[in-house]
Amino acid sequence: MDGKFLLQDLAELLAEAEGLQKNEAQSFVRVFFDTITRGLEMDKIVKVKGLGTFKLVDVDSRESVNVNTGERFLIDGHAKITFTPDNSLKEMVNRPFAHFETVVLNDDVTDEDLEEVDRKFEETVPVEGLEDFLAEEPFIPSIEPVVPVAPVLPAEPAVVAQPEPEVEEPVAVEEPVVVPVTPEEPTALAEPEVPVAETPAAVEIPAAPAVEPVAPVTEPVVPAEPVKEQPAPAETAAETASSEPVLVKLVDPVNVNVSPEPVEHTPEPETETKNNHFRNIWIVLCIVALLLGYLLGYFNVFSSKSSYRPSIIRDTVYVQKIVRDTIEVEKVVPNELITEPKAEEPKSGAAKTEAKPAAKPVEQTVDSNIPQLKGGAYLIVGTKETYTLRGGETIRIIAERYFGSRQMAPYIALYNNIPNPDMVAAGTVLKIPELKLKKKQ
Amino acid sequence: MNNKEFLSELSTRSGYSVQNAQKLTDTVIQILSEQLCDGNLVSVQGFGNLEVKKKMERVMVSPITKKRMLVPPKLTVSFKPSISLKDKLK
Repeated sequence: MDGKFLLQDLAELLAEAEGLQKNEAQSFVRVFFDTITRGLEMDKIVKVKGLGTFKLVDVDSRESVNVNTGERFLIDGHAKITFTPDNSLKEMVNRPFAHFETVVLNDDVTDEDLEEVDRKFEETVPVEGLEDFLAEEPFIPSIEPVVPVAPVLPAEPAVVAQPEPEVEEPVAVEEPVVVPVTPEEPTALAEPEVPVAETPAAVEIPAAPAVEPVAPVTEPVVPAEPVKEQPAPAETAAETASSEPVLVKLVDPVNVNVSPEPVEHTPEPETETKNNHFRNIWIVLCIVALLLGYLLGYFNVFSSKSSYRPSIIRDTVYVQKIVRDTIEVEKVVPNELITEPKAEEPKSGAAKTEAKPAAKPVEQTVDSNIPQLKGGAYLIVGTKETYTLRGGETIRIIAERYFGSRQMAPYIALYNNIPNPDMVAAGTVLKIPELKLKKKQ
Repeated sequence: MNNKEFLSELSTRSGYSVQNAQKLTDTVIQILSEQLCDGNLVSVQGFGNLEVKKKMERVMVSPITKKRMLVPPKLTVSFKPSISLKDKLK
């Protein structure tokens, strides 16, 4: 990789492939490139099939400025050599990236999205690691966050829909539990009356329904949860349940002979089937926990993204109309956004009131926690006041109102930790910084 | 100078027949492209360097539809003429 391949190596390989003498091959390769040069001299264009087109392009003379002295000087017009690779060569070289296609960007995709994708892209792919990159192919999935609204939302109804059947499930599970108990009770009642010989038969009958109720339990479970593991434990539960009656049958006659009689074995299957159902419930609970974890992680990602999303609500309105869930989610997020700064305000406000009287007599005792604009003429001393941004207002407009110049916008953006001053949501509570000129003299 | 003219010129200068020159040229180009695909820098003295460069993805606006498109990254061959070639052709 990335080695230098010289004319000599080329000649060697050529000699090998064509069965030529080394010096013959070398002279041919020399002539090959010489001819291209000659052709450029003669016609200003050389087309070589399979390689590409070399072209001489005239560049007009232009004025430039000497970087060191600031003097203006003229760059003479000259010929520039351009090379356009042939399609076949282009495709061959680009083969590692051939699966990429140009994508139409949605209106709501901002530059920040792309930067974020870039960052992820670079994290996952070392620039030179083409082979790893090919193996991973992270690009296509990484594009999905670029168009976050569409792919993310369909997942949500699914998540919302799932808990409902889950809630029903325990009920469904409990019911069958109750059912097998009741048929056995009559048998238990019947037993004292009926002679010993009949009891196994009586037990057999309730045992069969005991197995059956388990089966319906597995059924609601399967459609509710797409998880494959679920049916398997349910089946084992059914199996153990079916094996139980056998145990009961075996034990029964003995019990009957001894005399404590059915009272003992009726609770037994009950608790054991209950255990099975408990296992089911536990599995369901585990899955719910997993889903919750997934949801939490998803919301973390989403809320961090949506910090600028509301500002583009204009553009995304049509998306929201299509999918109702977006509105709910986005409603929640701005609230968070608003509450967060509010929570911070009193602190910083208090800090300001305390710091201010001290700051006035003593020069430039600035809280080191406040971020300062690098290269700016002013220092941010504290919070002057807060302002809730209305629709149609930008930080620039606010800057003009408070400081008389739109160029002060970066201070507000910095103080409020806004990465992109052009993308601020209406309703955002802004802290207007108190500014102080850095150097008085 | 198109491919045909190039080959005839090459054959007269190298002394091979046009067919042979064509065959050799094809082989040379095949070797070159293999080397380029491997990520090697092909350096020819007195001519220049051929190199594979990665172009980053970029956003462009289609002049027809006015839609923003994300153009994927790609690998291209770039040619950097040597100074001697530049001087020759100035």
